[in-house]
Amino acid sequence: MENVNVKPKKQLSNKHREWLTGYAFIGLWLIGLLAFTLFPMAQAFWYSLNEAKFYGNEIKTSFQWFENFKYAFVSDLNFPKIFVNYIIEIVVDVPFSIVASLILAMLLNQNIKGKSVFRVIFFLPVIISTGPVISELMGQGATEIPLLSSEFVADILENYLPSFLSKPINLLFEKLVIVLWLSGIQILIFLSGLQRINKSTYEAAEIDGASSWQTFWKITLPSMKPFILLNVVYTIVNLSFFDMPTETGNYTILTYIEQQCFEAGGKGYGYACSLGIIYFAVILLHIGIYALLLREKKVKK
Amino acid sequence: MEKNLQKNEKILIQKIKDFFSEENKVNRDNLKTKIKKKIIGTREKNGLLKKLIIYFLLVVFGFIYLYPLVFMAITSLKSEADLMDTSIKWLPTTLEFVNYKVAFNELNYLPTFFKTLIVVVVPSAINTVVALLTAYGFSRFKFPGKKILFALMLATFVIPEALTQIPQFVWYSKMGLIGNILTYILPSTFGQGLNEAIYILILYSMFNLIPKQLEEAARIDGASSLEVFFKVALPMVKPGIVTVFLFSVVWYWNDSATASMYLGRAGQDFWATIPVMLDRYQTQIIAETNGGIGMKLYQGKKMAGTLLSIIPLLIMYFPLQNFFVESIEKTGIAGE
Repeated sequence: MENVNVKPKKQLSNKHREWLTGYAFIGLWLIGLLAFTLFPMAQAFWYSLNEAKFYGNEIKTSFQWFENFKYAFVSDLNFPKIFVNYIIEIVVDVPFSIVASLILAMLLNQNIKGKSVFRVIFFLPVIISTGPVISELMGQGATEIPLLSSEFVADILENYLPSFLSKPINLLFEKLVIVLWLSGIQILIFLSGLQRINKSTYEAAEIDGASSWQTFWKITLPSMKPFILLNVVYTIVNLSFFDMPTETGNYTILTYIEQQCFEAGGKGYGYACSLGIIYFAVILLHIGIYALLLREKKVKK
Repeated sequence: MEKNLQKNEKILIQKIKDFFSEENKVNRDNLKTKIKKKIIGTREKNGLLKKLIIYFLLVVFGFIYLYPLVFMAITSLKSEADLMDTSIKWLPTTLEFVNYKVAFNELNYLPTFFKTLIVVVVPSAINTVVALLTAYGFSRFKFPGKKILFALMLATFVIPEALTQIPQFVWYSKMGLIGNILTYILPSTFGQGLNEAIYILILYSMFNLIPKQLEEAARIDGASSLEVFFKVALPMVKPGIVTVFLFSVVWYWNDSATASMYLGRAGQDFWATIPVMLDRYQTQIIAETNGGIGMKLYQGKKMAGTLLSIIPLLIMYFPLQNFFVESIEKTGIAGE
C-alpha cells in the first residue's frame, strides 16, 4: 500500500481493480459479518447493561450499568454453581479429548488390515451426535459402559485418591463415552496431520537408533503442535456450544441462558445477554491460555 | 528299553548343552533376533505383539462407539414386559416392531422428513456457494484489511451462538419471521450460517493449493475473474464442495437447539424438524408419566424414535463416508 503513489497510473488502476474484485467475492459474507454477527453482538452488549424484558414483541429496557453481572455472581443462586460445574468439566474434558483423539488417530494411521472398517466406526459420531440422540443415550444409561462406570472404579478412586483428584477423574469415567463421541472431527484433523509427516524423517531417526517412544516425543508430537491448537479450539467450542442435555434440575449454561430469556420465571433478556457475555469471555480466556502454552514451547524449541 | 531311554535323555541334554555353549552364541543370537522380529516387529513390518495391541485398542474403542447404537437398536425392539424385566438385558423375548409404528406416527415421520430435508438442504447449498465465493476472494485477491477480515472470519467460530441468536430472535419476532424458513436462509445467504467459518477455511486451503499459473494462463486468454473462478478454480475443488455440503447437511440436521428456537415454537412449527419432533415426543412422555417409573414403558418407543431420527444420516453416511473421512486429509486444513 505504501507504494501506491510511486507506481505508474495504469498499475494503480489494476491494483484498484483487484481490490474491488476481492471485495466483490467476499461481499456477501462481509455484509453478513456486519449485519448478522457484529451488530447483534453490539446489541447484546448493550442489552447486558440494561434490564430488558419482552412485552409481546416489544422490548422494554432501562439502563442499569453492570447490575446484571453483579447479580449473576452475587445474588443468583443457580448461576455460580452451573458456572463452576462447567469450568471443572471443560478443563478436564479438553485434554482428555485431545489425548484420546491423538491416540485414536495414531492407531488408525498404522498399516493394518481392516483399517477402513474401523474408520467407518470411529467417525460415526461425526454424523449422529445430536442433542436428542445423546440425551437419549445418557438418560437410558446406554453411554455407561458396564465395566468402566461400575462402582468398582469409583470405589478405588475414592479410597486411594484425595477427593479433589478423584472427583474429576470419576467424572471423566462417567463422561468417557460422551467425550469420545464428540471427538470425531478431532481424530480426522490429527489423522490428516499425521499423514503429512514425511516418512523419511522416521526412517532417518530409526537408523540413528531411536526407539518408537523417542520418535513419538521428538518427531510426532512436535509436528502435531499446530493441529493440537486447532483441535483445542475446536474441542472447547464444540463442548461449550453443544446442547448437552442434563438431568432435570441440572442445567448447562446454554439452557440456563435460554430459560432466563424466554421462560416466565426468568430475569429477562438483558440478564440472558450478560450471561452470554460471561460465557464468551470464559471461552476466549480458555482458548487464550492454550494458545499461550502451545506457542511458548514452540519458541523454546 | 530303559537303556535306550537313558541314551535319548543323554542326547537331549547334550543338545541343550551344545545350544547354550559359548561356541554356539552366534546361532543363539540369530534365533533370538528372529523371535524378537516376529513379536516386536521391525522397521518395515509390525510385529505380532504390536499388532495385537493395536487391534485390541481398536476393538475396545470401536466397542465404545458401537455400544450405544447396539443398545438403542435392541431396546427399540423390546416389548413393555421385557422393558420392566431387569433380567432381560440383551436378548428380548419378542421383537416388538410396533414401537417403530408408534414412533413413526408420533414424529409424523414422512411429512416431517421432507420438511427437514428442505430446512437442511437449502441453507446448506447456500452455505456452500457463499463459502466458495468468500474463500476464493480471500485466497486470490489482495485488498486492504484482508488480514483483519480473515482473522474476524476465524473469530466468528468461537462466538457463542446464544449471543448473536438472542438479538436475531428479537428482529425475527418483530418481523413475524419466527417459524419461517427464512430464519435459516437469511444468515446463510450472508455467510453467517452454521459453522460457515469452517467451510470457508476448508475451501480457502484448497484454493491455495491450486497453482496460480493455471489461472494466469486463462486470464491471458482474456477470461474475466468470474470466468476464471467458474471454469478453472471451481472444477479443481470439486471434492471440497461435496465435503462442505455434506458436513453442512449433517450439522444442520443435528442442530436441534436452533431448530427448536426458530422453527419449533408452539403454533409456529410448520417447519419443525425431526429432532425437534423427537424432543417434543420425549417431553410429552415425561408429562404423561410425570417423570415416574412409568417412563420405562415408553423406552422402546423412544429408542425407536431416536433411531428413526438418525437413520437418514446413517443411510447417507455409509456410501459417502469417503467424502467425510478422506476429504479433510486432502484439503490440507491447518497447513498454514
